[in-house]
Amino acid sequence: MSVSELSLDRDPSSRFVPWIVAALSLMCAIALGTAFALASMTADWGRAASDQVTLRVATGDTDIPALVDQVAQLDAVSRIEHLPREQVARMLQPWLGDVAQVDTALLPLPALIDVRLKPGANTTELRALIADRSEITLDSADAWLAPLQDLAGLARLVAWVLAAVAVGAIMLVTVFATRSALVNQRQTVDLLRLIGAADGYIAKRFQRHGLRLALVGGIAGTVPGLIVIFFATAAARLQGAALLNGLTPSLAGWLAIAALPLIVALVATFTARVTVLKLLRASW
Amino acid sequence: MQQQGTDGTGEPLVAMRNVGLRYGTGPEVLRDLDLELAEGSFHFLTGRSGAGKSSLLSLLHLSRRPSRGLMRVFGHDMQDMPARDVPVLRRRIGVVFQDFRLLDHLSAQENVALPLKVANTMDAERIDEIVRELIDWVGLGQQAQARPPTLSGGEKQRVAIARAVISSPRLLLADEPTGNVDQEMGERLMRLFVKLNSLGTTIVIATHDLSLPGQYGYPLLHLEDGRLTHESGGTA
Repeated sequence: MSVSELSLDRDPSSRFVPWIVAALSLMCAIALGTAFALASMTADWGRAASDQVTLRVATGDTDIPALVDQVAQLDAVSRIEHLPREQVARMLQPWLGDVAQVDTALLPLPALIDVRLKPGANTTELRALIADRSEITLDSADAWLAPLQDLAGLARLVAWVLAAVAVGAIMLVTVFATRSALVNQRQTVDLLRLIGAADGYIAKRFQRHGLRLALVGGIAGTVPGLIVIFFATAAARLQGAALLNGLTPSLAGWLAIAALPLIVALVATFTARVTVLKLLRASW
Repeated sequence: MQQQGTDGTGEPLVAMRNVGLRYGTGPEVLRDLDLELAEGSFHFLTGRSGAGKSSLLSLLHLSRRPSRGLMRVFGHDMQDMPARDVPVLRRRIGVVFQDFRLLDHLSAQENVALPLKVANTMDAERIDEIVRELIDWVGLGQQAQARPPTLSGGEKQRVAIARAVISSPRLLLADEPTGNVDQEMGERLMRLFVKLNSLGTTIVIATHDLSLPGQYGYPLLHLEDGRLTHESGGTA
């Protein structure tokens, strides 16, 4: 027999479920896309910041070439570059204007030494080397990246909470739709029980129905969600700010978002089953 | 589920001792029932409207638990029966309702097949075979694919009977089975029940038509104000 005993497809309480699930899936996909993109971006920041430091040397008697040689010999250092004075002048231009006009006797320009560390290396050796030389300061990106990392972490948390709220709302919609369908189908359900249908048999009909509705809604919401994430992150990267270069979900992130309809369908299936079993077990 | 002497032990198919039934906190609708249904017996259940016939049938088809007293069905105590074990017992009981309770979106054949489908103990081909045979037996071979709304009252009742007996129940309960059909169809249906009883099925027919028990001579269970009287002897 191919026709189902329960005519759930014609149940009026189910009519809007795919639309609601689609809207919630869209919200969930965008929230997940935001969380994954922020995770990639902050990981990118971490990688860039962790292997790059700058030595700022107040001009005076310091023998810069000797210092560069000393630093280059440290195990942790992979590359070192003393930035030319012209480059330093360009970097300071936004604050000082044309540096050529500045009286360097009154406002001496620092020497900047760009140091790249080997992967996984830390700054312990370098800090030890300059520990007793007060004219040398070690600048690490960590100092200014930390608040940004914290902010991005907070945004990620908010995105995860939104995704969880969307999934929770899908569960609630499924509970209400299943309860209504069970009420509408009460006579048929009673008949099925009377002729010996186990609660699991009846629950299976409702869970299949829930799966079908949620899968349709999940696909309808996730596909536009993926498109929105793709264009929104691409537009952010095109702004040209180096900080936003990593703002795109990782491959695993894209796959996780693409799997959202399946996750939503499984959540709805489980929810429908639990709802039906709970209601049926309330009566003998 | 316990398996206690349901076969060959002489134990009645259904036994009630001092059974009462109330809905919620309301008054008892059935009181102090003592009843035994022997295997292979045939009973008429009579009583005025509101006397408790439907309530007693609901106890017999295990839709409700007694509020008090002891009830054993197929050798199992209903008081301790876990809900998950009840469906297996229900499959041994066939029920025919006065209002048929057929599913309108299924064909007659699909309606009849339902008990076998939910029992999930045989493949679809075997189910089709058994259903076709039974549909022919109740004289509805030509209407097998028809949906209930297109069938007459008598045809619907025969579909309902076929559905009730397809899984070879040991106990068949019928609530006013002749109430919605003409006299000729009523007699044909009764002959069908008699034949099923001769094949070993225990039958209880609830009816307000007091001429039926007189015609067939089977024992009478009479309900009055929720109390049961056994008005004639026989096999009960």
